[in-house]
Amino acid sequence: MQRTVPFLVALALTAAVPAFAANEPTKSLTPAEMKTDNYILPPPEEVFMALRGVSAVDFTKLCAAIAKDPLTSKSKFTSDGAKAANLGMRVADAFVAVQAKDAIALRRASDVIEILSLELSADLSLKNKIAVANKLADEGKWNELRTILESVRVDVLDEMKANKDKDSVTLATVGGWLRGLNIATLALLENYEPDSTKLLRQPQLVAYLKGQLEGLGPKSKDLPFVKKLTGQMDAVAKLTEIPDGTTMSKDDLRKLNQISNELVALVANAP
Amino acid sequence: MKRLILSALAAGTLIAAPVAHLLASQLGAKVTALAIMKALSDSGWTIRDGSIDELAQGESKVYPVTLYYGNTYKIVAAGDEDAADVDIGVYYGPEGKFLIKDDDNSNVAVVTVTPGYTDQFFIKVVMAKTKSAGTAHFVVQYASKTKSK
Repeated sequence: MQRTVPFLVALALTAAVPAFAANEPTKSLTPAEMKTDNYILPPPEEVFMALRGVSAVDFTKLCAAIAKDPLTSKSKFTSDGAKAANLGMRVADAFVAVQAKDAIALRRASDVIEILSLELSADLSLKNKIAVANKLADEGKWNELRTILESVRVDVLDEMKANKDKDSVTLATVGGWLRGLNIATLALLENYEPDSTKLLRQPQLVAYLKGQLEGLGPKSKDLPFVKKLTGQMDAVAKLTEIPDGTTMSKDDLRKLNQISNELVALVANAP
Repeated sequence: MKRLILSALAAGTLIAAPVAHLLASQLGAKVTALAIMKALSDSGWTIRDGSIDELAQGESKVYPVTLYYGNTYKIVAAGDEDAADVDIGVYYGPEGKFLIKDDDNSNVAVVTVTPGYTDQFFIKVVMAKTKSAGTAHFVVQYASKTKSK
């Protein structure tokens, strides 16, 4: 236990009843407790921060790889589903740019983010926030920029929720996760260290996202890229199932990178 | 939701008493969480969006969350002005095994987790005691930082 703000702790009452019974600390959660829809989903930035903690990742090189692909600048899509999934992917690219401290890469991603987020949410305040983000990048204020970028991401999702556009929320989330997985596998492949692959264990998250994809409305569910994505989630879950005490082999890492490459290309190529 | 609450209050909108109480209570939880998150942010932690909720005394709620190997996390539950004792337990893996808890007699609870693998964790928030024996609001939120190698 670590206390962060002692003054707040000092305000606490002292006569409280114990919340956990004496024998509860070692007790596991019940299956009923674990069956819940209150999932707090990780933002794409989490995986990039974690990469720094496990491996010597060259984010500048990753930015250069992203820049080489013309599809990363594509902003015209006909369906809301494709717009949302690509928005999620470009937000992930923006966070890679932040890690690399690359203002040009950030602008490339933020231009697409601005177009897609305005088309999906029509929240004009996002335009200002994105302008602020670009300005902060030009000034090299990367820590402040991260906060703004994260608030853009959350605002877009909130706006979609307010518009009851659940499908776009799901697809933007899955797009961000997929791009994060894609970049993480690329980075880990370039400098393979078995221990670093512990970062990729996430079968439950993949299963949860698959469930979300299966719960999409018929219009989104019928999009070819969504069908393919949903169909590959079991393979991704299987590859990311890393038992305790083990790591992912280079072959499996390569397979995972290949699957994510194909899916990212499919999403970006969507009409 | 966040924005709606704050803008309504800032604009001095007339709010019916029960609604006003509800908003004030939510705001109380947010203010407490904000103070903690501000302190963490000032120490280099990256703050993540949280969730606001309400529990009756003695009730609990579980939030699954994926935490990455390579990061360290501070997980916080902050109660409103009606919350007397808010606790957190963190569990992990498919069986929901116990990992760590903060169950002291405070209306805020903070735990630190550094995962050995990326995994699904479960944050269990317990509203152990409220001042009125009724319900109280809380914010559950986390902050992350790249683990030192």
